[in-house]
This record gives sequence, structure tokens and C-alpha cells, in this order.
Amino acid sequence: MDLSEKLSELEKSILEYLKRQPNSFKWVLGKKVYTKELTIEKFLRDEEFRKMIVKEAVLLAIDLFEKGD
Amino acid sequence: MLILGIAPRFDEATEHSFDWFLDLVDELRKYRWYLLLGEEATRENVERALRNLEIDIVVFYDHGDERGLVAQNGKGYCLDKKNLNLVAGKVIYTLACLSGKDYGAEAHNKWDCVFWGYDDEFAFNTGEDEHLFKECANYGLIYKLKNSNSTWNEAYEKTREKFNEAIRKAKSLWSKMLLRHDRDSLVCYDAHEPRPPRCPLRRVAIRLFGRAGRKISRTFALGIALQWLGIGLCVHDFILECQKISNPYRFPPHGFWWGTLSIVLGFIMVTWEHIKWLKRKYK
Repeated sequence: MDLSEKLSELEKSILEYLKRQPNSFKWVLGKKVYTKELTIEKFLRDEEFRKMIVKEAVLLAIDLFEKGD
Repeated sequence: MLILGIAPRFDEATEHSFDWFLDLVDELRKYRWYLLLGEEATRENVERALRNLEIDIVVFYDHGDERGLVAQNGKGYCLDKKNLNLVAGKVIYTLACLSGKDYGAEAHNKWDCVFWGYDDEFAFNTGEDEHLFKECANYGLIYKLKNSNSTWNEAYEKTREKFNEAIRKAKSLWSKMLLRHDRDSLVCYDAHEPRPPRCPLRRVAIRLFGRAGRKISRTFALGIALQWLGIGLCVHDFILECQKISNPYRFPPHGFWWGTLSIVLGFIMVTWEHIKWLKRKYK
């Protein structure tokens, strides 16, 4: 079964966003460096990581609504 | 003012933070810096510098954890709880992940440091938004030093504003997300106090004694409690003696002796704590 089928709508949107990123996409969290492939891979397979990203996305949305026009 | 700048460089993350650090030094070049860069960023060198120089501010970029600030090649710590005595009363300004959680809290609570750091992992995006992360990471110290009359609280608030501005400016959503994460992980233990500890007794101590309640060690508190318990027992026994109720020669020994034992034990514990504190202070 395709792992992405089990994702919620928000998780699917984030996954699509990640897939749209250029191959040079790279970010750092603490000591760990994430490339585009690694981020997608972890997002699909690591539930804890996925939850962390979803939580960060939700917190950003709240922040933008609170501070936006 | 002398600033001790420490910047290990041994992995991809530190490659970035090293450059950010050099930009910070350049921005604050009118101040005196003592730099320990790359291979020089070891515990021995840091301790030597702190012992031999009149350092006011310690700036450390990059890796850390709850226990301290990680040395070159990830081998041990440049600064951890064991050498906090060397930074007593100084300012620690760091990018180190998680250091605000435990290390920074202890540095502030027990050694009167101003601690600037992060209580979660610091995250950043490489690419076109990276400069925003650098600006936010460096901003607090730049603001504080360039506005000499300002407080750390003002620097903290201004840096949060800088993060908000960066969130607006960031081109990618991912950068916005990471900037928000960093903004809310930023701590400045001077502008505000560390999170209340879990221990209920510690909370009571803080409520009763304020900042001093954060410094009291468990052994010291137990020693004081034992002494008061002993005094109580002795006084109680003395009153009974005055009333001629009890027999002072009965066995097992009566309260006075238990009280005396308790006072002596408490005294030894308190003295031992004091000796430990003096040893750390003048090591």
C-alpha cells in the first residue's frame, strides 16, 4: 500500500509541498542535516518526525493568523 | 569589555554557524575578542581562557544539549555543569540547541549568569533565507552591545520582533516554520526566569525565598531541616525536664540526644555543602 494514502489532508499538503521543492532544498535541525529526499523519506516513514512537522505547521498557521491583517 | 568567542567547526551545521559567528565578530569588531575557533575550541583552552582573562561575555556557536556546550569534533563539552564556576556572574550567549533547558537554567539559578540560548533544537533553512536565520541569531548580542543602556529584556523583546519580521520576509514557508520554532525556543534568563522546576519542594522554596530558592541545594535544605528538627526535639525535651515528667536516664535515650544527633548531622551536611561551594568557587 502506498504510504501516502494513510496521511491526513494536512500531511498530504505538506508532502506535496516537499515534493515541489528544488533538489537543493536543505535544512538543519540541531545536528541533523535534512535534504529533500531525506525529509520526504522521514516524513513518510517516521511517525514522530511527521507529527513534529505537522505540529510546527499548525503553530505557524496559528501565528500567521494571530499576527496577520 | 572582553568577549570570549568559541566556535567549533566540524560538521555541516557548524560550517554554517561558523560563518554566522564570524559575521557577528565583524559586526562587533570595536569590542575586544579572544577567539577560540575550530580546532582551538576545546575544553582545556576555554577553561584556560576563563581562568587567565577577565572575560565578561562568553559567545558560543553552535552545538549543545541539555548538559552543556559541545567542544570541537563533538568530543565532550567546552562548558558544562562541572565548570560553571568559571562562568559565574558572566553572560553566556549561545546558539546551542537545548542548552536553555537544563544547563542554562542552572547557570542562571546557581551561578548568576545571564543566559541567552534555546530550550529546543535550533533549526534553519539553507539557501536564500539563510541570512534571516543568521540575523536573528546574532541580533540579541548586537542590540545589547550597541545600545549600552538597554537591558537584556529589551534585547530579548527586540530579537523576538526581529524574528517576526524575518517570518514576514522569508520567501519559503519552510523557513517561516523554522523561524517561528526558533523564536519560541529562544530564552533569556535575565529577561525572564527559567521554567518552574517539577520538584514540588523546589517550587515551595522558590515561592518562599524567591531567586534564592532556586539556588538552595537539596543537601543544604535537608541539613537546615534536620537542625531545626533537632532544636525542636531538644526544646521539647527541655520543657519536659523542667516539668520533671520524664526520666533523663531512661533507655532508649530521650529526645534531647536524638535532637543533638540531628543538629550535629544537619551541621555536618550544611558545612559540607558550604565547603563544596567554596571549592567550586575558588577552583
